Amino acid sequence: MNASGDDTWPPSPELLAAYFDGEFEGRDDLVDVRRRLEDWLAADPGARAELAEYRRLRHLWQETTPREPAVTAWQNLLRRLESCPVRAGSLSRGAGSHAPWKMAAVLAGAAGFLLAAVLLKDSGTARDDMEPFPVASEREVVILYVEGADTGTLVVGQLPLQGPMELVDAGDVTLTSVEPAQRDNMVPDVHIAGPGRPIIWARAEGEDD
Amino acid sequence: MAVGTGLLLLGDEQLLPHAARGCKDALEELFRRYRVVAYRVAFRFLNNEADALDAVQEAFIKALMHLPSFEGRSSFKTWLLRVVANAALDLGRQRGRRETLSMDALGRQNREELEPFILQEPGQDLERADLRHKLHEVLSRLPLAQRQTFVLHAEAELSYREVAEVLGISIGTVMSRLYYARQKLRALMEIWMKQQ
Amino acid sequence: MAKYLSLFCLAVVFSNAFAQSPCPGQKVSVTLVVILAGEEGSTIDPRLKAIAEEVRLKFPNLTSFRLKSMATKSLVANDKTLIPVVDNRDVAVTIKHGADAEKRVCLAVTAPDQGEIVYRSVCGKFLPIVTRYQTQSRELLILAIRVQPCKDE
Repeated sequence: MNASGDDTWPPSPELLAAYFDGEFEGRDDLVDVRRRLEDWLAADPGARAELAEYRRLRHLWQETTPREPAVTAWQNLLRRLESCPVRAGSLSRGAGSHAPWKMAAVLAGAAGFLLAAVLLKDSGTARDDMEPFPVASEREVVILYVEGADTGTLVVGQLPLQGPMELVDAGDVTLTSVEPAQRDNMVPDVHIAGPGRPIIWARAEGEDD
Repeated sequence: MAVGTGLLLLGDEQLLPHAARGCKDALEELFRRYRVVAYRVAFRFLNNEADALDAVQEAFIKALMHLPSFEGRSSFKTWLLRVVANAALDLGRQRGRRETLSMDALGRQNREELEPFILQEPGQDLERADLRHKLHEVLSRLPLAQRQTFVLHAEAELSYREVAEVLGISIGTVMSRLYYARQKLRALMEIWMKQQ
Repeated sequence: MAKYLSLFCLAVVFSNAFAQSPCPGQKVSVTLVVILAGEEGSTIDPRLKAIAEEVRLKFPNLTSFRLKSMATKSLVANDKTLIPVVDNRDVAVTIKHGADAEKRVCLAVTAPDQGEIVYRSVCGKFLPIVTRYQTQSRELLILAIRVQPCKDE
């Protein structure tokens, strides 16, 4: 079928742009569409002019490709990354669902050693130089970050939120300032004075003030 | 930056666990692979080398922080570029539109004073810088969604599917945004070109 | 005598002034709880019962509330921190000042898709911030922030 003779098929501009962007390359499922597009391009000068404009814009974009920074800038940046204290390997517990289980296993093993040491000592077969394996107490470990799903697997450590969340009451909070959102100047609804508990609500797009 | 040759042969998905465990060589290799594209994307949003480097740094730091939770549903490249784009936009918002102490900014503000300089020394670098600045200005006038989509496609050379993945939108939306972004960019650049 | 009285009064004034302003090096512990609320399922984490009740007054369609993560940071005045929440987005928290004479901490919070909010709050209780950010699984991001004076380490 010749696309130029088909009144129902001028390709949408988006489709033409997708062709220009190489989105049809290697797509066996779009072979037919590609062929019709190419037929259309061959027959329609307007479509070819459109593609020429795309080429101009692409050329302009490539002409203005940002120049790379100096090698020293990259070296400095890499040094800063390598010295960054927040490294994946040093993340606190809760960084992955496996970490707390491993920690629980280690601590269980440690507790097992301790128990064995106590039993052996009691049975009189403990060596004089065997000391209990030190296990941290709850007050000695503070959890800095934990995924919600892992909060039930911790063996020791105080969770930031232990029990039911206690919310502020009316009068507990005073507002100093609110900035609008950069994107669309949305100003949240700051419900501070009551009735009811203080709470800040973002407004949905289109919601009236 | 010496990196074990073995790492060079590893794909991203094989490097990531090493980097997540704090392996310096793995981090270096990932940094080497993606620093340029990350920088170029950030630069297109910020038009400033120092800011773009800051955005790249922030993005890599965030990527390192979130590496353990990276589930591999997208490629590392698209995942990183999403972080870069967000970091660049956040930085741009924090720092506002800054007038850079460059010939470009001076040229825009004091064109009459500068034009004789350009006429006397129409160096390619100055023209290119002027063009880049103008293109950035025009790009800044696009709605954010179109701007993000266009930069990710045109600068990072992401496919429609990859752009959709980065931005969490449908491919149809990518096509539509790109189309309107191109139309606007063309129109605005044409007006400027005519004024030249 | 009058001179000593006036000096005494000045001392009282200055000591009151110091009592009003928070100690510059005082550390504040900021706890951020990240909650995701959705329209599917009916499970409400028991720890989130109070916040779910408040949110459902406005959004009764939200029937599930789960605790995504919780984080604690120890900051001094003018310290800023970024705490990851979801989808590579962060919440920025800056302590403006530690506990003052009224035992209130002043902090600035910038949640995803929102501008900065600066407020003073009592310690030990959470202030809910219902954002408009939705995850890909269409769960609404809700934050709860609490400040506490830190104990000396």
